[in-house]
Amino acid sequence: MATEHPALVAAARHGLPGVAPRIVTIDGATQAQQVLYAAARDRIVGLLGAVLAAGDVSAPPELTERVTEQWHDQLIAAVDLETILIEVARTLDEAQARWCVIKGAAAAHLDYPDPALRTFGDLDILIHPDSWAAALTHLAAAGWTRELAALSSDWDQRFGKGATLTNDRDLELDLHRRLAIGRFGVLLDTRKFFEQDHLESIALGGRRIPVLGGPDRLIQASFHAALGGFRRLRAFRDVAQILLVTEVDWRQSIERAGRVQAVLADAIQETWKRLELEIDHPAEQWARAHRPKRLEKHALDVFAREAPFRQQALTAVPALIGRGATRYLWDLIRKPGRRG
Amino acid sequence: MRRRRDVLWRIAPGFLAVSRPGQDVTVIRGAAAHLWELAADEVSIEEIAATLADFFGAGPDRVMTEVKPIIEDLIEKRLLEDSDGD
Repeated sequence: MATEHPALVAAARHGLPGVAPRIVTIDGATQAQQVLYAAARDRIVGLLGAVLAAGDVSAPPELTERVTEQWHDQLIAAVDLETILIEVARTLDEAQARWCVIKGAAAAHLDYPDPALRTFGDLDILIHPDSWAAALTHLAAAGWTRELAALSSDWDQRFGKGATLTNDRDLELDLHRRLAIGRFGVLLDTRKFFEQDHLESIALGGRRIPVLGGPDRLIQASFHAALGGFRRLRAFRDVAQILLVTEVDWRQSIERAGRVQAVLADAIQETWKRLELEIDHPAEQWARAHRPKRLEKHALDVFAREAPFRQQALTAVPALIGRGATRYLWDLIRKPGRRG
Repeated sequence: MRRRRDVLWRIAPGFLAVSRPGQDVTVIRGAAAHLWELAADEVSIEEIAATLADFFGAGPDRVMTEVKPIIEDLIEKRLLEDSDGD
């Protein structure tokens, strides 16, 4: 785990209820540059700007100006992506696909008091398994190109996490068939997210855009925080935001997580650790008391150390015994280095 | 005039980014960006100019001179709509 500059931690904690501000100094231009780079990459420049404006973090004067510039650039990108989202929504609705937005755009509008505080660099859409083929076909017709073909013809449906598509402007659309590769991805049936009354929606550009319900957003945010490829502070802020600000029914999240509860426990514990939260919360108490089983612990460790794709994918094998483990291994071995 | 229903935007202090599908993002910096908050509900250009002038301690005529072309541009790009729906 990389050590984060205290100013970044102060930013990532900023505004959470019951969480005391941190008083931090950024010394010198080099440190300021490093903090700016890390904040921009993790897309927490809006929060960094807020702690600078509040005076919690003191820094060389030029940093505030550069943070504001970066933040504005990210806001422009977010608006641009949302215009694309409206077009994607039209395409998916015409395909009569069942889908919902996850991660950035959904979190910005539902979990943050001001969507400007939660920026994002791509679009993430979860597709109902029964709509996967139709969604891909219609998006291809609308000009979206899949970067890498699936490892095999039925890989996506049986084992895969999803597909990354790009358009002629090089904007990225991540279509998710599952929330993660590996053990926890194949154990979580995403159909349950689409069951009646579980989806919510946001009004965007004059359209109703489906998004995950609150308890399911905590599951998704936990997957990203515990298993995502870029586990920096923003991922943990999302978990804290959903728990402490949105105040979703986290007990319902745990119940709905079923066989992947270990992911929630890991993400919540790690959130408290990485954001250095001192407050008591029953979800954190539950997470601390949770004891992952041996295979769960192994899988979480593989993701925590950001092991290569194949090692992460192999964590699914025990869960696939009797459900296609041999075929899974064959596909992985046949095309080593490919991601799915 | 008011915001159109089909627009996407982000606002920050002294900053507005706004667009609609198929269009480039329009960016407004400075005090004029705050007109977007005022345009959440039906408002006239005179009311916008008066409110911004009051808030920023500037003369209404000067604010009107600065804000009017911006509003006209936003209407032309179909980001704001006139009260008659254009």
